[in-house]
Amino acid sequence: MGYVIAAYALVIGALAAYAGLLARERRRHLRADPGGAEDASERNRG
Amino acid sequence: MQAGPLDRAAARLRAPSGGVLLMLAVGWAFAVVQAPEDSVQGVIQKILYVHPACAFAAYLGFGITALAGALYLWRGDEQYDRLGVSAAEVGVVFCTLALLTGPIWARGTWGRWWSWDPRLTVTLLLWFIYLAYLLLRGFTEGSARGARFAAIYGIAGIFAIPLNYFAIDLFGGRAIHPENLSRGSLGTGMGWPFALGVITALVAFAHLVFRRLEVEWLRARELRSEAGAPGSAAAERPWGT
Repeated sequence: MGYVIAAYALVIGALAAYAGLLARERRRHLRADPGGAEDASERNRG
Repeated sequence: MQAGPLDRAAARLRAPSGGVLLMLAVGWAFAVVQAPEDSVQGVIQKILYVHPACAFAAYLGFGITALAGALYLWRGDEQYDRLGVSAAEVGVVFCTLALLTGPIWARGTWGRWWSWDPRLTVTLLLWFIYLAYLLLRGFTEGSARGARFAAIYGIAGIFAIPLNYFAIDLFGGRAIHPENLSRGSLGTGMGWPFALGVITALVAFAHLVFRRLEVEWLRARELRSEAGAPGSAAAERPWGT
């Protein structure tokens, strides 16, 4: 059972770490350019 | 800088990563608990519900990279280039996880962590191919020429996927990795936990690609604004050269 728990914990932990890195990167870019997210979602529609 | 439909979709579909990861953990835990124990391998066979799922997500990531590369070369629209690099990076993450969960399973069943079996070797090759793609993108960031070269490389790399999938059939007796799953090859009651495991991984894959795509949009936007600023370092390397 130890191997099974290790495999699942590894996958979930790694994906959580990667999602955390992406969130941190997003925040860093938004600090430098606060309008970036708005421009992607609203202003350039169509 | 104009956002494409893909960029807008990524910006709007902002599910919290914590919720997606919780769904991932619950989905896999449910599959593992509900699935019956294998009569030959015992409990370690339950790695089945995560290991191939990671490999399928990696295949999907590399497939999207190739498709996005072809669309970028055809249409010249930068959103496809951003999709290509995003899918490649998430694909490499899932390929890494397939390469890590496989040896855990192998240690419990074969008694050793690694074997130079055709499937394992070609998976490692596939990982190196797309790792090189990401390195290429890192070295040529913001360059249209680099993006075009990466698109061609991403399309060429896709040919390693059928080689990987059919490695066991191609190399016949030299393979110790189990054969590809086919209809009825799983034990009774294992089909739906397997499907649940794969769906769970693909939902996580889609979420991460959208998050990565959003970061790529913000990065491209920042690079472009830096390139336009007189005296900035990036002005020496304007976008599109």
